[in-house]
Amino acid sequence: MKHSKKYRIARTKLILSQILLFILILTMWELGTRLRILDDFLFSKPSSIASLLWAYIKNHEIFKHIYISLLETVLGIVIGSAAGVFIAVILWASRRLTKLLEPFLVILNALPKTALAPIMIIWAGTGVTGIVVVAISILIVITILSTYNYFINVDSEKIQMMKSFNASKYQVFIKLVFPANLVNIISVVKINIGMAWVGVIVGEFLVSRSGIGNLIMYGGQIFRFDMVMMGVIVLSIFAYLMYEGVNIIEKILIKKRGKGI
Amino acid sequence: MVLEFKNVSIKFNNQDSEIEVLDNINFSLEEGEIVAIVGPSGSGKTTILNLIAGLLKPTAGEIIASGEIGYMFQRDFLFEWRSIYRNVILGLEIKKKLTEENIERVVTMLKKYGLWDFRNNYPLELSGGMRQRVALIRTLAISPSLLLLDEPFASLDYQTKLRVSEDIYKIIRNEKKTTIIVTHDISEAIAMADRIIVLTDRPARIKKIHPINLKLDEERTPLTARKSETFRVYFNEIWGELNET
Repeated sequence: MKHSKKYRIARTKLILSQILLFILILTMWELGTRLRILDDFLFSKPSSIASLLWAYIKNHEIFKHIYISLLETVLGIVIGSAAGVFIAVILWASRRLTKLLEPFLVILNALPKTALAPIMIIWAGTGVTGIVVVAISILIVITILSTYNYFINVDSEKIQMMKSFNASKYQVFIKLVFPANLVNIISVVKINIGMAWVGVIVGEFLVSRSGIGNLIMYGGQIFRFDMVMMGVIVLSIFAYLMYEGVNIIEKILIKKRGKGI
Repeated sequence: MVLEFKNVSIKFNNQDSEIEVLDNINFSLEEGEIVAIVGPSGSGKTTILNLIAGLLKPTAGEIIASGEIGYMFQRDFLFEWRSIYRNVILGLEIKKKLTEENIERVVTMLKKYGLWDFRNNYPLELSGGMRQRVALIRTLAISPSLLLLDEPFASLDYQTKLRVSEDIYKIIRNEKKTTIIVTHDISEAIAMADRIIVLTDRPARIKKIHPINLKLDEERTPLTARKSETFRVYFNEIWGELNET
């Protein structure tokens, strides 16, 4: 899509203002601690966070943490979303099963899953597996419920139209229900990115020898606020990159639908 | 005979009540004929189509239909993620009949009815009238021996409606399809049909069947039909029947 010149100028202005605002906050933070308005020990300052990050990059320490957390998060999102959508398909296909399981799903959804994280880690092991299980547990139930809701909200007259061609249930799903909800499923996956990170960080807080959650936890225990902030910054960068990654996948999947006149 | 209704009745069971929708309906269709069904709203017009399409089963009586049935709905139900061409072949795809012969027929229809240049476009890029034509070709692609149209023009504005009904009428005549069209619009029914079946209020019975013979000097199409003097006569007669208590 082509944008008008006016639109592009407005957009550039907006991005510039956002960058300026960001720099302003950093400067105030830096000055605040240097002028002793803020306590350096409690709040750290941008320059020490940056130099710590640089040191971690130079000795490659940070990459080990990023690798392990990223692996856990991606596994959590992929397995959790795929399994969640798959279960939603089964529920869509069987009304009876849905009626049977509905109260259990609602309770599971309301349950604070992080409260069960310690037990899940004991069940599934303390390594990557345990943490991935925690991440999956946080996102799978809501994935099932929201995907199922999207599936059953497909226009019933469209299903009638398919049936007038004698379509089987499988054909109705493959040719109508799934493609009609592709965009919705992608938006569920986008929400899952944030939830998987919650699971991974909580898991790493509990048991881990590396990972960004471990870094944040360790920094907190030794009162190194710069280390905590470094972890949070790395975390947000990767959460954002994953979100953009899903956006790109979305654009590839749905670019061929026409934009309307 | 393409279709026959023999003493057909249907009741719908709600949780605590029973609604009688059709009561002892009898009629039959000859090959190539266009029959319109008119009746008060809620009188079970669409139910008749759903029965023919096999989406519903009658409570009593028998429906004899032979061959494929093509069902076209009030809304076009084109899938916005499929191109026009892929929308048109949906029925063939479902029925696993994507043979060379069938594809060729689809291509011919797309060309003949002015949609070939849009085959790679998407539904959102087409006007309402064009979309309705695409929906008709999707229905005709499976070469039905009987065509069911459920208020096919109700979602269009008046101007488009007249133009599209003209288009669709010509396509149906061209392809020599036996057709049942359900509508609440009396003038639309007279403009299109060879015979009109008038239903009563629910539970619907057949009130009257009118053969339509318009005296015309030119070729009959929905537009020329509206100019005929006999048009008004039929209109008043059917209008009266629908408003009798």
